[in-house]
Amino acid sequence: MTPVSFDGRSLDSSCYQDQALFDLEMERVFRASWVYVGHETDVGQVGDFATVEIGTTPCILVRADDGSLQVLRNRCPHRGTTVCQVPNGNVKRFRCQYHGWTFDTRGRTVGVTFPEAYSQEALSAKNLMPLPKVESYRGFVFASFNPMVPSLSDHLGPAAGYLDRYVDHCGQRALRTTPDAHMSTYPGNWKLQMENGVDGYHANFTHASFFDIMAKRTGKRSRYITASGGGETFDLGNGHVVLDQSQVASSALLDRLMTLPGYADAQKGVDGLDSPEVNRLLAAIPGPGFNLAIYPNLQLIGIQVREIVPLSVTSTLVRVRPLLLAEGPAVINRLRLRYHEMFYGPAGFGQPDDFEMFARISAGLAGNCRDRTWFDRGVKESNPAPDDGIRPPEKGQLTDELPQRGQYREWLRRMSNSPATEDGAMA
Amino acid sequence: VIDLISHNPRMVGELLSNEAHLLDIAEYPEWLSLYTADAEYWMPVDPGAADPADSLNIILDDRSRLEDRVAPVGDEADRLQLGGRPLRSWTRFRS
Repeated sequence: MTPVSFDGRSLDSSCYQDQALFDLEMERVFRASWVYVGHETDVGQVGDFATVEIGTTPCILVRADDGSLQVLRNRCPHRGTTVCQVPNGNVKRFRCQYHGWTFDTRGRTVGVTFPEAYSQEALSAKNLMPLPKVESYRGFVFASFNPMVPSLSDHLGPAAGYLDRYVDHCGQRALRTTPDAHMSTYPGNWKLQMENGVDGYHANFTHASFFDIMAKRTGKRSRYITASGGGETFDLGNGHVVLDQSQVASSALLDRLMTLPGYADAQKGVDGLDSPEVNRLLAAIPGPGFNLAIYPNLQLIGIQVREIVPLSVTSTLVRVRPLLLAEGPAVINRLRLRYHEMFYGPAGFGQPDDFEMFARISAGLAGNCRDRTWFDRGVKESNPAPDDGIRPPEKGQLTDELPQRGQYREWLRRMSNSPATEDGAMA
Repeated sequence: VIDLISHNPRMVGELLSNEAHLLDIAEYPEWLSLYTADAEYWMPVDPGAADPADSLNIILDDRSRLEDRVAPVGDEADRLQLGGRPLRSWTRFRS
């Protein structure tokens, strides 16, 4: 395998391009630990399913006939055909179209075409191989290939507190995901999107056109990022990190609402809600104000649930959808949809700009010259590297690259399959 | 619009062709002038979506959002960053 290192400040750039390393990531970063596979409201009723991925491996999240959540391999145990071809729906059985084998919602093989030619033994172990670990935390469902993985709550650690704040950002009101998602791919490695979702340093340039348009529309200054003007970053351990803009950005985010059709009318009142509740729900449209990245494939940003799906070493699918009120006035949910659409999706005013940067990074790294990629912004001279290789400094400023360092420490730990050594070299 | 397509498909074809041309030559003010003040530009995620307001959309623009899309922003250094050219695909229209 190619020797690679993250030394606490910079990364060997080949980690965005190396095929052998990517294959190892699928095993050690994705299959060895917890991966986000969906929201419980995606599969609310028995038989509801959604096709999902663990790294590049296709799986099916399904609400089984006993009410349990199962994650099955989307792979016929006979010859390997995918048994489900659509993103979501409701079924009693999955059927492989190749030879007609059928499977129930717990993955058990319930029908084999002309079974007489098989012994009972030959069939007994053939099923859709339900993943050994499926757990959810407050509606967010995670799964793992690894039966020995620590509990989900150990894995989340202090990130669970941020998940709570996210889930509770509309008070007692329950939330649901939209059935549809914005799906876009970019020509670049999956880690680029993981870095970017918690990057407090890029917005003024990457999203300059959006800030200009907002300033023009609202008549107010729309840039909120300054060298040291508030906002914080946190490393929560296990690769989970936070970019907290709630103090510094909330007024700029609320100003954006003024450009949404229907917002001014909603401010005057919403049928069935008293006026303090209207104000609370309108103020909650931009979400709790922080970006939370749950390693390795989930980001909660504003009101958005973002899934990062590696397709190949230099191709990535990003699936985003807003959270809406599970029950509540359509007026509020429409504003939440419009707020999300403004920045996200293939024609949003923000997300395509990030994708363009990922494409340019891929272009800039062509030729694999073994360059370094730097994440040393805000490294404290007094504390240049974590002494035990694991515990990083926990808190930084908004534009510090502390979240990315947290992600790459975890990446290195998993890739080494042992605690990182002091100089960050692979064990 | 549906009536127009069934009764005068050629006229609709000419209108769309003209719109594409204006975008190709970056005549944005004239492109905008094709749209009325109450225009709604809708591109849903789900082609079967029934109602723009309650759906997740790729585009649901009112007139001012259309203006945002072509607003001149940035400075000369920003314009040097515009390396690409848009690729438009104009295939068919039907009611």
